[in-house]
Amino acid sequence: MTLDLPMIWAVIIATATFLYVVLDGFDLGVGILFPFSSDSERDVMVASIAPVWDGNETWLVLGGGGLFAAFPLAYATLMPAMYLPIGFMLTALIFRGVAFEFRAKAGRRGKPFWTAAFAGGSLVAALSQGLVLGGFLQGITVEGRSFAGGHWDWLSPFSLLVAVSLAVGYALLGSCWLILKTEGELNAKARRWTRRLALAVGFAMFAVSLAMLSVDPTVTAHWGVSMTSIDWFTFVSVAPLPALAGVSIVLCWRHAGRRESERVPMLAAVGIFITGFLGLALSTYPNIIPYDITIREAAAADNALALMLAGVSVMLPVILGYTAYVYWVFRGKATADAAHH
Amino acid sequence: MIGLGVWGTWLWWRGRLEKSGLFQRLAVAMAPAGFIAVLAGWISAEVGRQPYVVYGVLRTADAVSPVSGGQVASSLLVFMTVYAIVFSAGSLYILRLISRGPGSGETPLGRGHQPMRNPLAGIADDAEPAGGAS
Repeated sequence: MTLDLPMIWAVIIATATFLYVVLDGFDLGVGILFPFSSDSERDVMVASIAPVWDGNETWLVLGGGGLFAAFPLAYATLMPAMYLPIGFMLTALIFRGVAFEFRAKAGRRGKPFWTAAFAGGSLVAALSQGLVLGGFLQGITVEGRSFAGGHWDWLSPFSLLVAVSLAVGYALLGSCWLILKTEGELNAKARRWTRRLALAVGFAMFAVSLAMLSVDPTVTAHWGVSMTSIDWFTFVSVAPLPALAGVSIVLCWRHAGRRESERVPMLAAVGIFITGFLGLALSTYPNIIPYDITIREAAAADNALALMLAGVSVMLPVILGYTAYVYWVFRGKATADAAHH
Repeated sequence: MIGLGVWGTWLWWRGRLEKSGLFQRLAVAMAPAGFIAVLAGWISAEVGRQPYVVYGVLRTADAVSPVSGGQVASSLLVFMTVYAIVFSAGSLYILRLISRGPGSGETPLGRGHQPMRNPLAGIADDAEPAGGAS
């Protein structure tokens, strides 16, 4: 039996990307919610993510590094196309990363600056990732084996819609995390945020889904839905995805309002992201660079993929293991004085 | 740097690590040496392998991405600015921490030092605002 190595690697990279989106998504979301909270609440919010945020960001390294090694053609096309938004993202992540420490070390004059750096860095990182995602989904201009589009191709009404949607989605993950990790007044606040954000995410997903249908024929062929007609047979076979997204949104909204529900909002929010991610994967399949380069075309040689697979099958369980351990150690509610570790 | 390390180990072994003023002054002066060594090594490696990006296999000129010079220049400028801000702030906070000195619960790591009886003893001091320390 021979393994379909390019497909295995596509699944590994998609999984790493998804884990990044959900895990760093909630800690970026906590930063996005900063402007709506008081300074003492912010200390608790930072304390709730301080032990885990840097671990969360390692999935970006695995996704990016894996893409470089397993699909060099996709990496070489994507990076020049997204040079500016990825640059914005890195700048934002640097500011946000140091703000974790500097916010606690700064005196009375310095703290507001690093608070702003944390909130602004979180928001700009989320928006930049949304612009990269939007620019990716709307399709990248390729000629031969390299990027041949303009430097501002990623900026469009569609990519702006995706950017705002992703930031709203991250904020939802962040507020569900706060329901899980905080008590009292802040917990009640997080529940109010979650109810509003769940509805906003519902609208955002609906808008992005509709807009996707006008992006490329590949997308409409997968869903059986175009702007002017529906192929019911195809649509019914994929309809469970949007249906599950809808159920997750309702579940998140309802349980955020029930004081005894601590975990359900977070699980439902993750469910929303799973359905959204699968929906976008289905829309662009089998392309790794929409809508010109397929997973197979971009893959590295099989012997290289096999060698890396051996490495990953050891390292991935190790990473998953210590990640689970960290979340276990820091389970329970967060308090402001636990911020230094 | 290595010499200072060897000297420090010898002083520690003789139990004189805290007494040698000359050694401690030299250790302070040596603080930036790590940064200089890393940067110098990195620059030597990058300059030394030119005109290749993968030595003997791929030339730098053939490896360039389709990214304009303007984009590269602006990103370089942005990163320089960001690092200038972050590095200055970081240095300021490190200097503040140093001038505040170790908390009362922390013992210097000399020979035969006593283990801390109460590891929480220093926390009350740490909670004091840093104001005016620098």
